[in-house]
Amino acid sequence: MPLVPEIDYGTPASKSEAMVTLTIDGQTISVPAGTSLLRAAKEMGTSIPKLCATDSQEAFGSCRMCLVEIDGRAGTPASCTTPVGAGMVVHTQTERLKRIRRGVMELYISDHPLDCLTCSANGDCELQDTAGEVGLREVRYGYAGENHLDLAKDESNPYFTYEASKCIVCSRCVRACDEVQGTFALTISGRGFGSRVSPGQDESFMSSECVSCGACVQACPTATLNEKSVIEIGAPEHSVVTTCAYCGVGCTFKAEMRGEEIVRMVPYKDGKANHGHSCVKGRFAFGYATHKERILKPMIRAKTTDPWQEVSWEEAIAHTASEFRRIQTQYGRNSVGGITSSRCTNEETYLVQKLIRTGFRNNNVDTCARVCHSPTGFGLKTTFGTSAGTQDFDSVEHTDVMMVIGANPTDAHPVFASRMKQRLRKGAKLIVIDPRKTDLVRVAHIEADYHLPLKPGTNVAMLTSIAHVIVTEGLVDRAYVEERCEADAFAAWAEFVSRPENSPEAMEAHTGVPAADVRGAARLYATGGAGSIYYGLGVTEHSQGSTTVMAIANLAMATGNVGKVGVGVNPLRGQNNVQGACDMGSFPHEYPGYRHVSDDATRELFEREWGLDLDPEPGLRIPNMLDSAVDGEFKGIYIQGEDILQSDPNTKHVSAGLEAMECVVVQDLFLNETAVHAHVFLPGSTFLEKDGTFTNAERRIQMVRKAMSPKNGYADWEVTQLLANALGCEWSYTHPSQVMDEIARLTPSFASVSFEMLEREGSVQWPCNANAPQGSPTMHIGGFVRGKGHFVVTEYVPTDEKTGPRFPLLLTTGRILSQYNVGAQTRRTENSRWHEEDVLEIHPSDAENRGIRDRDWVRLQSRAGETTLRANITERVAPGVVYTTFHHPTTQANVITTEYSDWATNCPEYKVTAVQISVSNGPSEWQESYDAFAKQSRRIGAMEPAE
Amino acid sequence: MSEEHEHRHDTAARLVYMANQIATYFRSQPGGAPSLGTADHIKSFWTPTMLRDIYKHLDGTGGQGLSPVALEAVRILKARPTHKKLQGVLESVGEHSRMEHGDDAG
Amino acid sequence: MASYEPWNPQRAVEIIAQHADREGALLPILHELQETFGHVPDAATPILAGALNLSRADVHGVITFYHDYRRKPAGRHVLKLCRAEACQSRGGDAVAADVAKRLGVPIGSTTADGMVTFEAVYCLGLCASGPAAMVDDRIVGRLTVGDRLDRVMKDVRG
Repeated sequence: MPLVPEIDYGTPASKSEAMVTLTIDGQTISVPAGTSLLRAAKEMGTSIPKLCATDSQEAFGSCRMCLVEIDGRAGTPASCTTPVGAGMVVHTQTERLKRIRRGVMELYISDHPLDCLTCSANGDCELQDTAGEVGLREVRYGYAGENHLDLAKDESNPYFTYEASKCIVCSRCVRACDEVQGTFALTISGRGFGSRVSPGQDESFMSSECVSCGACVQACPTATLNEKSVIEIGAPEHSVVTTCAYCGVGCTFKAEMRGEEIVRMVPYKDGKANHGHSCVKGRFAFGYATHKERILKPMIRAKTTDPWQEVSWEEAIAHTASEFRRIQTQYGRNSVGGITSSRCTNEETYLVQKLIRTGFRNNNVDTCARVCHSPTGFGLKTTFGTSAGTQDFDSVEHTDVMMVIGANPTDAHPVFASRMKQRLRKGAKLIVIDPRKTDLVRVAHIEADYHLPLKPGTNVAMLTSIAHVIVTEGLVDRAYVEERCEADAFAAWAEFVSRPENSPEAMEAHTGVPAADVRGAARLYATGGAGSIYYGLGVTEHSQGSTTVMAIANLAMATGNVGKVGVGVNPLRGQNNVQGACDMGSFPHEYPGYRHVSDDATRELFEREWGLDLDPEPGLRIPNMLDSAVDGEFKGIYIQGEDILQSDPNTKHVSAGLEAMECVVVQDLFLNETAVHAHVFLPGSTFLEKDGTFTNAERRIQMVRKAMSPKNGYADWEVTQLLANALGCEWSYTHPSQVMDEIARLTPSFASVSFEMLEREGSVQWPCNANAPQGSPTMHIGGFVRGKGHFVVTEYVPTDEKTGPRFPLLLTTGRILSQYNVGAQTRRTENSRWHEEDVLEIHPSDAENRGIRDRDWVRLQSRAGETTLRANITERVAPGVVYTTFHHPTTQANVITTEYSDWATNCPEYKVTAVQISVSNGPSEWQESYDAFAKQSRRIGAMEPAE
Repeated sequence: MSEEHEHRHDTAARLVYMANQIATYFRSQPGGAPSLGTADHIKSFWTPTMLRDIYKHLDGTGGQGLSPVALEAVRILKARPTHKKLQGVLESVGEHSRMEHGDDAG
Repeated sequence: MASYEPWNPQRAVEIIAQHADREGALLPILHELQETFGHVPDAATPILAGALNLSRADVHGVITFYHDYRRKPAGRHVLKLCRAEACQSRGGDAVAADVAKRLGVPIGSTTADGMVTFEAVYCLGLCASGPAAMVDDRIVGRLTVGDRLDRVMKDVRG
């Protein structure tokens, strides 16, 4: 499609339901009360010239272009700041307005470079447009007066440029940073003629608090803030609307292209998840698709110590199929399996699990949700009946109290965090439960009402004590519970939480949080109005992860906070399609739609569609695959888009498991850490190179559209089909829409979903079927999916990972804004300028006791292993707790993490490791030898002629 | 390999640990049938191979290391009949392996 | 001539704490910082931002908007000459040129020896008595080139 036209109405839409009738330029119209005249005129089809107004921001009234005349009113009010009035008669174009507008324009242009033809905004400049609209023909002031044409350019940010000489001080960038992003990194310094946009304290963009979200670049009407890619390449000529492939927010973007080259990614205003906003990753960090390290040809090798040999696709596929057949013949049907990708599309993931079930004939399929949100699936299924969150993102606009536990949205789900901050600035209350002082606790204009900095590993103790307060202080929503929840389970739960040993006073010994704060927070959640809970991996990646999810569900049910807008239980799913991967049955015990493999009716449904008998027994989860490999029984694995060596816990064990296998197949973009142990490498495709769908954290299924042809030759689903057919499956899909049709046939919650429907509606939140033809933004309205809500007793069981004299500190891990998970994509973009290495956050007192200064190399040791990284001394962590990120393979943070995991799902306990820190000289020996070994393993030999 | 590493993939020890973890949860639940709950959970999620291995441990050592609830759960599972569908699948795939013999147990 | 304390972050923190609970606390705090230290250095911005939970950009925008908040200390004496229209019509231009020549610095700067800061202000409300000026805390009117100006210059030059 050509560049997607998006109308800018000037000011935000009014949410009022009352209508006002007025006349503009002789036409009578009716619009919602509170609409500005500027917007009303635009909706009618008349554009009033404007410069400082844009509909993602509140009216500002500074540029003085949008003036109108109103009968009976003196002067020329600005139409952006004037709301419609009943019976108003408005004129948007009169002789007087023409003169004034031209005069204002003359002032702007008298202090503006006149190099339109060579300017990067040529053709995409609102100043140009407006000068044309007002009929500017001369600038009577001349150009010899004082001006700003000599101001220096700020090119410090890797993705965009700030050319102060072109700035008209409309303040749209400042307001974007304030109102949309919520970082407040920009201001106008000085006044009058001296006014200038100032990042921080008149600093460069890179040294200020700017997080490079690009909202200012998007808002800027001139070339002042412009993408470097536009400066280099030129204007785009067509757009493809698609969905971001980074996090679980699932922002919609317009990929603006010149032929098959991406010029830039611009957030799509109609994106239901992001409403026209983005973060640094989605908007700017797409360069990895064309990075020089990207592998484009299939490769195989006999031993992992050999260099890789490039081969043709035919040879690679045939070799893989024959190896898997050989292994199954020699070692048994269950000796092979696969891992689906939470970054690939629903259709691709569905095909991988189908390949495993019908090609390998077993259930040894798993996905990265194992290591992140599998407890969400288990916990919410048990309590509510659905393995997913209950709301959509827009629900946050109606919440009164937010509880954020084990999540750091400003880093991990930045676009949604901006929405949370908007609501918080309007007066909603906030409770943060996190060992660390995350940004949400206190950052410009935001302050949590309660921060409960509990000791890592004590989530269940904390939540149970909150439940104690709610029940013993009579704050339960009795009517709701009686109507909607199982009576017996509730009674047993209420009795349990009321016991004295579950009080905040008793639990303080475990959590370290003062009981008074816990009581205050509990009362706030229970009585503060619509209460919503947002949680992340700080909840799930624990030995009691599933129990914690159920404890969260208990609190929501007890306070009547499920089943309407503004409330709910909201797991912040990490990856762009981890929700989808789970929905698609990438589990050893479940088919698509979360139905157990032993359920005869479901299995027969799939057997009929797929035409063969299926194994009714659960298969191996990823940790079990590795255990089984070390035991000598699991020998072949097909891994699509997942780097288990870097992201799974206890790296040495993963390494041992992979080395023990005879055919490790990695389908990915780059030679990642897992590929060090691989025998077959199948080059994958990026989200820009395929059609399909992703499902975000809101259960929203969104289109992914091909913007360029796959550089590796095939979309990932095509590769899976080649492999399946080489194994004898006889698939004949020609387009992913056919896969979605198959999914819809087999999965009740997807029954009405199709590409045609998605093209029409834009997106839809499952369940989407005859009961809910428009999808389900809010779940459990009127009743829970399982019938009645099920309360679960949540007894606190401390983790077996204990501190002691040898390992006295507790390590917890997390994410940072600029890098994404293992960093496979973001490390291959300019984002590394912000986070070149993982650092260890340590409290000043712990550092002092060990003679550690800021930026020193330190050794981080646990029972599992050790690594070395630099220290960052900060009070974000409490004494006794240390923290690092896991984005860089050189750190191998998972060498440290243990083998402990959630009792129900084996989700690893990443968040609690007993460690010791000491000063070090530099990278540890094993890090250096690993580095050397990895380099060796990535050698690619010359292409040899086929036998 | 370090001592701890060897311990970690001592198959039986690992399975015993997992079973005990599950049993601890079900022991805390009301309703008075923790071993049944534990047995059902294990059956839902463990592979036939893992079941075979824990049965082997039960037979070989009397279930050493298993907590009382976990021990009872494993006994209950071992006594249940195999899923009849499994036989059909094994035959249709037409491959034989060491593992499949264990599946016929019970 | 006022005497000011040298910049001290701890003292600044105390001043901030006194006002922090007021509505719109930033301006009263800035006034007091200026009165105490004679200026509000760039180093104060992060402290203010942290204490009031604003961004550094927010605080910087406010400080730079008002000319009265100096970012560097002034000279021993501050001579603020009115340069608005009424004083101009009374010979203010000539006074400005003369003072600049005698001090050896343009308007808007401090002499090299740190004795005098020479600044423009726009209207002291003494239009009938122009040209007007403020010499430290003293208001002076009818400041034409001649004896009165000589006396003022002697005062500020010490």
